[in-house]
Amino acid sequence: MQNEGPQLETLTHRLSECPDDFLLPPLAPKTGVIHVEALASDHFRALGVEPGKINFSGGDRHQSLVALAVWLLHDDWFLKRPDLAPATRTLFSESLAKLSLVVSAEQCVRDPDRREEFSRHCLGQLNLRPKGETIEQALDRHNSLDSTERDRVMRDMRAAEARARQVREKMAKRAAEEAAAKTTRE
Amino acid sequence: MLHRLCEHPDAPRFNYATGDRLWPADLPGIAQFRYGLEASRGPRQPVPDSATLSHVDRWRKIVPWVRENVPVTVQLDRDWGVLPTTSREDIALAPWKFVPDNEPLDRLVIYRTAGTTGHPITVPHHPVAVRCYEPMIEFALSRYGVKPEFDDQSVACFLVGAQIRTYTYATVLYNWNGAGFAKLNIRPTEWPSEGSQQRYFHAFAPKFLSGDPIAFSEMMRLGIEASPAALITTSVAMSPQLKRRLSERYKAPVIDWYSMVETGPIGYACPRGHGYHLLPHDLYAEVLKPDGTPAQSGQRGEIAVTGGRNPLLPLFRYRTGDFGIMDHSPCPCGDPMPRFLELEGRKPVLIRAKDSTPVSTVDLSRLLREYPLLIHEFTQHSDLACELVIRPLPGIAPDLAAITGALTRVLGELPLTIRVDPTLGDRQDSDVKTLAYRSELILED
Repeated sequence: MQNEGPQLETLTHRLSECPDDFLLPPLAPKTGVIHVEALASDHFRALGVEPGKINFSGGDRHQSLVALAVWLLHDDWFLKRPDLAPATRTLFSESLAKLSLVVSAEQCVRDPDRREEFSRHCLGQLNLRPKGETIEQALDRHNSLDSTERDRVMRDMRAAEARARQVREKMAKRAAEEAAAKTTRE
Repeated sequence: MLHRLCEHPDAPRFNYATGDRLWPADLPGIAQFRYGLEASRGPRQPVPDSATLSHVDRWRKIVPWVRENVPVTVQLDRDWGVLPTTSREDIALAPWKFVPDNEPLDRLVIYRTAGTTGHPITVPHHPVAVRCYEPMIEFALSRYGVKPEFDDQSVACFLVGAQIRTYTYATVLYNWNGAGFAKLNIRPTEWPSEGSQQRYFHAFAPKFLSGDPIAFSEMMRLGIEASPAALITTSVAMSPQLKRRLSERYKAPVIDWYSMVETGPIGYACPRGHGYHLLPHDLYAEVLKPDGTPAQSGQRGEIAVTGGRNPLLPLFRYRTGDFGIMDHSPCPCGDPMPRFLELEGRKPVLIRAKDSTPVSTVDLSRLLREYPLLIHEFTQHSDLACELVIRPLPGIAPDLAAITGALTRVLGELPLTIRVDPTLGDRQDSDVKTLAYRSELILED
């Protein structure tokens, strides 16, 4: 987030106008419609760099987010910045794979909060922040919207509750059973 | 041996069955503990050692209570003195918060402390931690020159109790070469005929005895003869007079043992009479001011411990409710471990029913724990009138009539008042703890 990027409103507006075609199911051997890898390759060519290989480890949801990111970043502001190509490749291959575990491309278009989160997420991965914001403001706002972090907290909480329940049940069961012999009083 | 203990014509009516629950894979760990108990003795600094800090640092990731209360941003060595403390109330309310996330539960055992001196709680425990008691007993005995040889043809120990009701059982202990062990209730009602206790003790000649002052006192009153090499007395402090009488009667040293279910053994009485030495090498002990910060050297405060070896209940600045002074100076007895001086041991409390029969506080605790109480304070006055102050669990109103009925069944028709105090036990700026039991009656020496 060291550098200033475009205005946030420009990006969220662009997301809200994303053509439905970008949200169609990614092409698979027997199903799907859009060829996401081809879209990404076109984007890199538009930046003036070699397309390279994108690793879609996150499956269809991951591919859909990459398609959406291609739409978002295929804006003049970004297309004039070929220096952002390596970070864009990492965004496509890695961080969108993680984000796809907790949020869908559809949500990132339809839901205003998710639009902002997706825009900030992409900017952050490109080491950019919205125009007019300080680093602190950008970080704070991003964290408050961060689905991945929220999801981690929720998962940790659920795991803690499940473990507490497991221990409580085991303790109740074992309370009625034999303890081990103790050689002194306490 | 087990057969002999259970089938002897004078054997008591054992009401429970259990064993040492030791697995072959446990033995190296216990051997290592036994070795460390001797090899790791040495002077201690009044600050936590690196091993203790390392344990706590690990617990910040895996022990829910520590994770919630000791942020990873805290620098443990620098900030130790201002870290929060834990207490019996924390375990009473949510014992599962102390069980590490990654600790298997398949060997979990439960001890419900009878609340002889505190308030009833359920303690998650592990057999290996319990089996480490044996090396500690051996160590304490050896400090008094007692080094019994244990074998599968003899009985190592009788744990003596004198209660209306308590678990009794016999078993053999692998740690002591298969020697016998029995937990006994010496009340006459537990035995097949008059004089059975005497004959049973004579037949098995336990190498040493463990128990509490009230049980040992009752043993003398009943005229039970024994020739143990030592008596280990636990639970409550013993008066010097009773200690002397016991020692003379049984011609053996009486060893005071400072131990709690939650912590395991903490200390043993110095053979030269200079307080209580910290016993296990893997326990960090400190004395705290009422605000939880460490007391100055020589200053009296509440004893708290960190560490231990119960994998299902790691101790983090656990306030014992006992008060004393910590002394790190060398002791003439030769044990380099620090000592607790002026340890305000938990005094024996004598409660009597209307017909003057002694009623153990253990029995009263067992009765009271059937009700939703966080803590209680039971007092018997010199005229036998009783007063019970209770602090219920949050949001639950206990049935006072039912508690009255239950107490009356045990104590008889004595004057009894019950009062609810939701603030009972809240710490004041003093070192007087809430005692579960008080009595104005005097235990006769």
